[in-house]
Amino acid sequence: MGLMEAYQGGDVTAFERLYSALAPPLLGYLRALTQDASLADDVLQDTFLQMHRARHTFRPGHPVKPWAFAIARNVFLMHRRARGRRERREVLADDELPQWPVRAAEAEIVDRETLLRGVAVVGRERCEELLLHHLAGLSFREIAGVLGISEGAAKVRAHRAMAELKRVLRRDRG
Amino acid sequence: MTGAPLPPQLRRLVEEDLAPVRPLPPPWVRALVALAWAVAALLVVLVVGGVHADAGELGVLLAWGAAAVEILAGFALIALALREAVPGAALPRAALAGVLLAAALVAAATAVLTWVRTAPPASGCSLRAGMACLATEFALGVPALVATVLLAVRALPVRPRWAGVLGGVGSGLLADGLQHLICPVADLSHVLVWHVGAIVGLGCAGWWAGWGVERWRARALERGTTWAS
Repeated sequence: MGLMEAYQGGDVTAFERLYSALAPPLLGYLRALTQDASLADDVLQDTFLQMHRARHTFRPGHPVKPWAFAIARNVFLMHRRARGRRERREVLADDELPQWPVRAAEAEIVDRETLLRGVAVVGRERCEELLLHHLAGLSFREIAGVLGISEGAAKVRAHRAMAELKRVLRRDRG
Repeated sequence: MTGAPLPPQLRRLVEEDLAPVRPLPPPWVRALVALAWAVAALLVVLVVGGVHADAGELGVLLAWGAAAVEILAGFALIALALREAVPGAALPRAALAGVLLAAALVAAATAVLTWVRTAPPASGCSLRAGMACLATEFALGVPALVATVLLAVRALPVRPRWAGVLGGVGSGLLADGLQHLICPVADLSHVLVWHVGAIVGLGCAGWWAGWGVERWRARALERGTTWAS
């Protein structure tokens, strides 16, 4: 039985382990979306509360990450609508940067801080597929389910964002 | 990646409500509620008024077959609406638009085929007949729409307006399938304006319901509570 199934069965330890596994990538994603560390922390807590209240909507046997990221994205959008918060594009301070490991392929291109600063410059809407794939580790099929787009569109957008990101980073270096 | 410790406040909130839950059944199973409504309404229609007089002229395929196709298409759309209400299972917008277009084609094809096979009406179709059809379709469709919206809200629709439109158009098709059996007017303009108009109206009602759910959730979040609690 998977962790989610145990959690649906009322096992608090399973929730604890899920939190432990999901909170870091979710927080990284939310920080990239909000560009605001404290807001991301708030949204993360609301995301887990929403996940708890909607835990019956998880379909056993399916992957947990797309379900969790879809809820996180939705809570973020609700927060943005509710507060009328304008998108902030200021560069994050070092201690606010998401604590994600940059995967090997990306690490060859650029370090984590530079990558996330680049994302802040390019804009979160244009980098969402890239973040979900390269940093959160979702497949393009899973990203399609989270964002409500086709798998092909997710690939194309991630590719375009990567190209744009490279252009921005080259400009910054040059 | 190191694991994150669970904040004590979140742990307390979760522990307060940690009753075992049963996972939602698949969308098509939940959509059976709407299909059950359609069957019940069909039985009532048959007992109260029976099918219209031209049904014999249309033949089994165009009378009952077309109604069944519309009802099943409506059921499929409602199942899609309920799938859309589950996080992480969203379909591409282009696919959803294609599904809605296919629904419009089903309704239009039924109207055209029926019109071709029946004799022209002796007199023009009155506004009263149109309004009666509109009212009947709404009476048949609104309960299915309400059930769909309640089932969708019971899940967690991340795009409530899309779920609403799908549920609305699906309910409209269910209602139009039933109406196809009882409406005596086969005139193309009547069917396209009033019957298809009712489907569009129910689709709009679904969108509006989804918009309401979205606003409700945003306000609940602003107040520090959520609707799902």
